Amino acid sequence: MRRAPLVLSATAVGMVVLLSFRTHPLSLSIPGATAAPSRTSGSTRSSSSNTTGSNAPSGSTATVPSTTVTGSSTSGTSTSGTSTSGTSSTSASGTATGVAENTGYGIIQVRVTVSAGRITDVTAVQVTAPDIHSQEINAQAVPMLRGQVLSAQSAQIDGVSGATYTSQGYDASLQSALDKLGYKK
Amino acid sequence: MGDLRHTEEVMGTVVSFAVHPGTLDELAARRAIRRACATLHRADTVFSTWKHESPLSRLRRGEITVGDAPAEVGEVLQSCSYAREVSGGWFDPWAMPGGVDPTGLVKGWAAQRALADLESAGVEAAMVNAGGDVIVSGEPEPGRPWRVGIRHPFDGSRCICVITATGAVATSGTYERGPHVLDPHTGRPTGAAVSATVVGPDLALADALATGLLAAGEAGLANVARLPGYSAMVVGGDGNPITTDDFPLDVFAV
Repeated sequence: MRRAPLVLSATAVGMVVLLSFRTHPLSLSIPGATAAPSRTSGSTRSSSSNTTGSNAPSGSTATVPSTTVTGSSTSGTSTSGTSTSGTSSTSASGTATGVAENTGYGIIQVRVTVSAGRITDVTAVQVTAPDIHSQEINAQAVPMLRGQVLSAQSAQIDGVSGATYTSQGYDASLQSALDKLGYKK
Repeated sequence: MGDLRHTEEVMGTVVSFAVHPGTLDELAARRAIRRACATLHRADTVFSTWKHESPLSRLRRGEITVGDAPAEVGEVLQSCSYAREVSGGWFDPWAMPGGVDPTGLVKGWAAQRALADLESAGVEAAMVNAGGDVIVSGEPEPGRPWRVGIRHPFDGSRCICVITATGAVATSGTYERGPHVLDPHTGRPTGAAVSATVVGPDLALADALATGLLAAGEAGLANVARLPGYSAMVVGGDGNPITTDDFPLDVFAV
């Protein structure tokens, strides 16, 4: 069994990650953190903007072009809905809104900003909840999920084990937004 | 070509796929993903405890026998029986109120079969993440293993650590199952751990062992360590993680 040494290294890595965070521009607005009133009636899945990921009723598939994700430049202006897609090897930049996903605790839809190949912000543009219980879950989950995305990127994680139910809808909406930007995780 | 990603709502959760087709063309890779999704939906149809007329629900009510049920039911219950044995009784679907409930193993079992669909189609590498239970094959990039973060039990915005994965990673936590995890031996809450992760070749068994380990706490680590290829981590109520010696820890993070 192993114990204490792990905790020590945790602190060290945590520091490194914190430091690397500071070098990137982060907007801290989370409009969706307290269950926004907007509501998607009827269908469980809607798309605020076009393109990939919104066609199938119970799933979304998208091709993620291979783009090089490096560097920490702070350039890159955001243009909502713009897609710098494709096949080039330049780093993705821009802002895109993902597909609205049903999480089981309501609908979630996120907007992501990518600058020079790095996710610099994720905001929930739509969080609906059918009841108080779901609202509480979302209010707790949405800020956490945002943190998870930003920190997972720093640690180059391919996936998270033990993620919550809500997070999968969040991830799916995020992925569809990233797909529009031609961003490769 | 680039990677393919797909998300599918099924089994009361959302399953995400990351697929590197390799030499497989895109159409064939998409077909393989569709087949994998059909496998997941089939598992849901057979094993849902929420669907009144599912074969499992009918079995629980005593309306049919295992022999009457689809063959997968017998297969899964056999896996459950094995998991109960090797977990020292800490995973016990027969100790649940309301009849046998293999839910703690089924999600992992179904995701493992979904991955098998992708592998048999010939994809180069893939990750299937079934609501936090992860199974991978191949490598995301040549020479780099898959890296899987383990959710921090107290703070979902962080991972408590990152591990390298070559097979299955299953995590069970009180944040997901509620604070009152029952000891199948006594039927009483244990409170032994807040999170348990099991790593190994098979996601069905890893899923079941993680469920049992959450109830057992540190005392259950030895049972997992005894199984060839399996390792584990338990996070206690104090937030301190304890691992078996060969747990594939990459970094403590983020």
